[in-house]
Amino acid sequence: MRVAIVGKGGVGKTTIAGTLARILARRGRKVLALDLDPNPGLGWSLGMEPSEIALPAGIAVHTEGLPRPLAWKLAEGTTAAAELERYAEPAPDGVTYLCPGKIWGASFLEEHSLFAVREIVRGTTEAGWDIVTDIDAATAVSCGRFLEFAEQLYVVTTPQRASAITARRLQDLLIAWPLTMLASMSQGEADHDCLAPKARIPFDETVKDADRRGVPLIEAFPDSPVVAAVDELATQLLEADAAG
Amino acid sequence: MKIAVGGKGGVGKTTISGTLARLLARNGHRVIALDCDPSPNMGIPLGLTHDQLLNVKAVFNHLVESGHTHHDPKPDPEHMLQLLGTPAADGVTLLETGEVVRRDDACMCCGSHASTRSLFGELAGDGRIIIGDLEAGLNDIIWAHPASEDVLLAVAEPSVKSIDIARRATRIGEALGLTRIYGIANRVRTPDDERAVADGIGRPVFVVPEDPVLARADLLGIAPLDLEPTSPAMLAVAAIAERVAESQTAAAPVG
Repeated sequence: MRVAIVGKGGVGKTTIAGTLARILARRGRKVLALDLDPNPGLGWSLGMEPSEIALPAGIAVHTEGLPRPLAWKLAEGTTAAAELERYAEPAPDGVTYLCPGKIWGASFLEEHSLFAVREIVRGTTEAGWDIVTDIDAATAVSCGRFLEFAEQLYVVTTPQRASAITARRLQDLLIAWPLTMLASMSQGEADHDCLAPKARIPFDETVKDADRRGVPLIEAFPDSPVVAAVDELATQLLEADAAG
Repeated sequence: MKIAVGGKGGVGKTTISGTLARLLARNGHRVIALDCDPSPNMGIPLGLTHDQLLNVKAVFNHLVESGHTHHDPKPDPEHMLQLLGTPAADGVTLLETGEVVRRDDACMCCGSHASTRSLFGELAGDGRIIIGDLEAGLNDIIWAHPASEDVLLAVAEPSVKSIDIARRATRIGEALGLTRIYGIANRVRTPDDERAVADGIGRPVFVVPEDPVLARADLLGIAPLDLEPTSPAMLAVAAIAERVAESQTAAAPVG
């Protein structure tokens, strides 16, 4: 299964992605946690220090004259499996973590790193991986075709107005995707109803405590209702996957 | 004077920068609030209604609709301000750089970033204050490319993730030669919270306390400054407004 998580900044995308990846791995799945955010975050939620690996030039090559999203391919002589083996990092519970790199200093993440990761993921889809993808905040996700591999997109909202505005914009932008609304930090039945969420992840103070300490929720507060809600989500995903 | 406000998503950049814009305007400054988020919502703390907010036309969207491509967003900043500037509370003028919408003929994210670059960079800061509420994360600080005389406010809350990003934001500011870089510790509940942010960023921080008024204002659909102008968080932003304005006077060339 291949899922990705989008939504306004601060709604809980990364906590959900990190927790989901670890729950799936604990259930024996082969999990790739794919971190497409050039800002650090998912590493913390998985239980790793932020990665300083950046995929170097040469893995992906650019062909002049093609539209940008189509212009990048893996270089000849490289394979997705070999590059995944080389650049993925082990995370707790047997999760495999891959990211194109992080911003540290006043330069953008190199385009070749981003597209190299996209091409590695494209080439890895047949190998039985479950892919859980964390994306940077807001609405730029529709560009670059970074999400074409995702079979399921979760749009996370909170009771906050701005997050609902972003979620509606995402609904319109990502009209071609199967979107599922996830109501995060939910404190009542009515707080997200205009967006018809398929699942509710309750508000829980322990998430803040875990964030304050920089430790994964699933380790610091395994009994958190948030972990229970993501566990239920994992069950639904596995059932849907088994049903084909 | 130009102020760029950056930090992790959800740390309170928009509430702080929108409120700061209004308080500076109340102190007699001419203020332009530049919303650089591809999902713009700076209109909320600026007192716009939901419908007004959704009807603001962003610069890059206007350019695309008038035939430009994402490689060619070369607006005349002052003309864009006159054409698309939206009056907001306290006399602030709101300008959005670009909203990512579904289009087949233009890369909206490249285009809105390019508009951020040209508007934050080229709108003259003389005689007025331009506050750029940047897109979540670090990319937009590089896009906006503040100049050495500009102010960078790096906002964090007491969480390891947001402190990490604020620290990286200050590094970007230093690499760009900025001298007026300030950390803001938002949603502070204890002295330990403040210390965690200050130590993590490696510099003293302005403190904005945790304040239930913000959630209540959000629920009611009004700006927090209109609901309770003397709530703890609003008073803290007022103090930031004073300090930032003073830093301008202090940095002004003598004679």
